[in-house]
Amino acid sequence: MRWAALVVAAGEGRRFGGFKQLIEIAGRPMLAWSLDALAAIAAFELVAIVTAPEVFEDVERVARPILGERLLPLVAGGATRQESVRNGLRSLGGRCEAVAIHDGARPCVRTEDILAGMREIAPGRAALLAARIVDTLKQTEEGSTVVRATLPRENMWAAQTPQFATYVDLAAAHERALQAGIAVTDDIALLEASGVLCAVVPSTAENLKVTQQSDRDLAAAILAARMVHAERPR
Amino acid sequence: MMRVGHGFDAHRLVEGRRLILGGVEIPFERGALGHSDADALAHAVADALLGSLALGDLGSHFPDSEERWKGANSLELLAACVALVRERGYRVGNVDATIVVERPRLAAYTERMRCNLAARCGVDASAVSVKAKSSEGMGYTGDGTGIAAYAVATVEPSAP
Repeated sequence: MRWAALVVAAGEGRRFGGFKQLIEIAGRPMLAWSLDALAAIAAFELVAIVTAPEVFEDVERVARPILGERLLPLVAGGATRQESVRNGLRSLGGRCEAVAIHDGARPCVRTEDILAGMREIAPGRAALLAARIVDTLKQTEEGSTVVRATLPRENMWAAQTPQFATYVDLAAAHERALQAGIAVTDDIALLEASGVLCAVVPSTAENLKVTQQSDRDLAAAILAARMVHAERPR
Repeated sequence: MMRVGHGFDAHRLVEGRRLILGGVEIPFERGALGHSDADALAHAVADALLGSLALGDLGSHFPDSEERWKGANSLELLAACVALVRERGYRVGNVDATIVVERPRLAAYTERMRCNLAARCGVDASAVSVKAKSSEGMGYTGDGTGIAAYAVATVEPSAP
């Protein structure tokens, strides 16, 4: 199967006082870490990065040395994540059979987990990396701090990226969502709605999304630990 | 008198293993097969140090046959070799190493490898060099079958 990777790096990151994907984590721009994990997989013949036009030059400077010829011309992000992914899919055109969509704010993703997700994909069958929920879940009323219910955490998973599907399944799900006016924050939700079978591929909480300063510190610690090997390999 | 040692190591690259070089985990679709963490760079440097004082090789000090070295962190094996050098009244002078592999690209990681190796050798990072080369598609390092590392190390008497 001909694979492409689609990296969504369009978030403004107001909380970081700058463009989030380019903040420094463990000595490198955040985006560089996940591009390394993707670039290590030869099956990705093409890589599209969706980002803000004002940082095209900076992103190109980070991504080109890592991806070389595989990097497609940068794609402008949309008003929502869904629109950004749609722009990215259109830029891929029909040049691939399957796509891994990754959030550029998840720098700690492991190459071996990406490979495990890729192995699940066939027409009508999608997959995503996800971590089992370990915390007990409490539900509150809107605008209140009072606990209304404790939800069972059995069989609950926290969705991560990459999310994987065939190009045809993804493009169809996005077109359908556009016409029906469906808005979601995750591509698997669109695939589920269009009848594609979606499987979770167990990942770990290490593949966290950097949304605030404490996440950045945690991601830096995780990546730094991999720079001085301390644990027994699998 | 200053002495010189040479070290070499090679490992097969296989799916389902992590790739560790100089203590750095490198994102790659395959990893190095071996009894320990199969860190070819750390092994080559350790062998160079042992070789400088004719102390045999890594395998004679940390045999593959022993369960306690399974999955061992090779930076710790390197530190143990440096301790042997010190016991003989020597200290590490400098180290120069070359990794030979076609993929992945290692440029982003060689600085961290130098720092890891220097810390275990008890020298400044300026005394440790790590280079990465491809073999232009030739041989087992060129076709992706394996990864190789070569190292040269000098040691000098700690009390002149």
